[in-house]
Amino acid sequence: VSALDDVLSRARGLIGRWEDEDCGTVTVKDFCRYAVAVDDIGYLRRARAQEAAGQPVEAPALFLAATMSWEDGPAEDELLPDGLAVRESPCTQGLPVRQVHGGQSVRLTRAPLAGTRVTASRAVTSAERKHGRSGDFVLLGLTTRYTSPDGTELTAVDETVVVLAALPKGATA
Amino acid sequence: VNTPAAVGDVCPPRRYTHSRLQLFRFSAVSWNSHRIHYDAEFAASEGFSDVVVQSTLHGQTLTRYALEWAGPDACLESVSWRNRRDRRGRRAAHLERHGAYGGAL
Repeated sequence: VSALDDVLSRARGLIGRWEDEDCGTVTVKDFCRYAVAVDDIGYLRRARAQEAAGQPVEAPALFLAATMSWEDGPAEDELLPDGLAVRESPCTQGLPVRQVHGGQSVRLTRAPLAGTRVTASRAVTSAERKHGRSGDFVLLGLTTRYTSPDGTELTAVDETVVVLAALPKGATA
Repeated sequence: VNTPAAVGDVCPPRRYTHSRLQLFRFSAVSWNSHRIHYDAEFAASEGFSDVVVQSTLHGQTLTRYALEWAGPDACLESVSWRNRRDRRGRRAAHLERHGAYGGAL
């Protein structure tokens, strides 16, 4: 059984099992740091002006979708060789594989406001063995739904992750 | 005065380039520690000629551009993109679809 078969087996066992993560209470500072990192100074000015005027401040459109993790994170020596935390690399723990993002589809239902406590619920939705130009791979489908405390959906993300066999030492893709 | 965007309108293409510094800052702010985005040696081992732009940074850039193009009364309902390597091994994102632009229809 190859590592990719193991990934496939693990993923199929997880399909439909939702796991919740507390993202904490999002703040204007979180939004503004994100905006500055993507060089959106216009957002920064608007958000700080709204905050000063006591108005609600909406997050940048992809703020929730773009944030990879809401955990404090593991120590450096607990990261996988590619730098990801185990939790950010579903179904691959301990296996000689690597992964890349295939793409994302983001539904923006309601813009999160500063001061909202957000929960992320995530599940594997599909797992398929495929063959492409770069050889065999497993295509994982993942869905993450971000909700406010009353259960209102804020953002939903469907993403695909391509899991490939690890490269032999010294080899390049 | 710009005409509001309508269903079926196509955004004109726009070229953009991200700096390594922006990739670093985006990795930090999005809590993305994948080495492919800041470790050129690691990226080379994966067949890339340099560090790789985060797919979500592509998504963010495309989204922002679409919103600027659609005008101040627009709001984005959905967006999707796929990441592909080009013939030179570089990674690029292709926007597939933007949702309806509320208020501008």
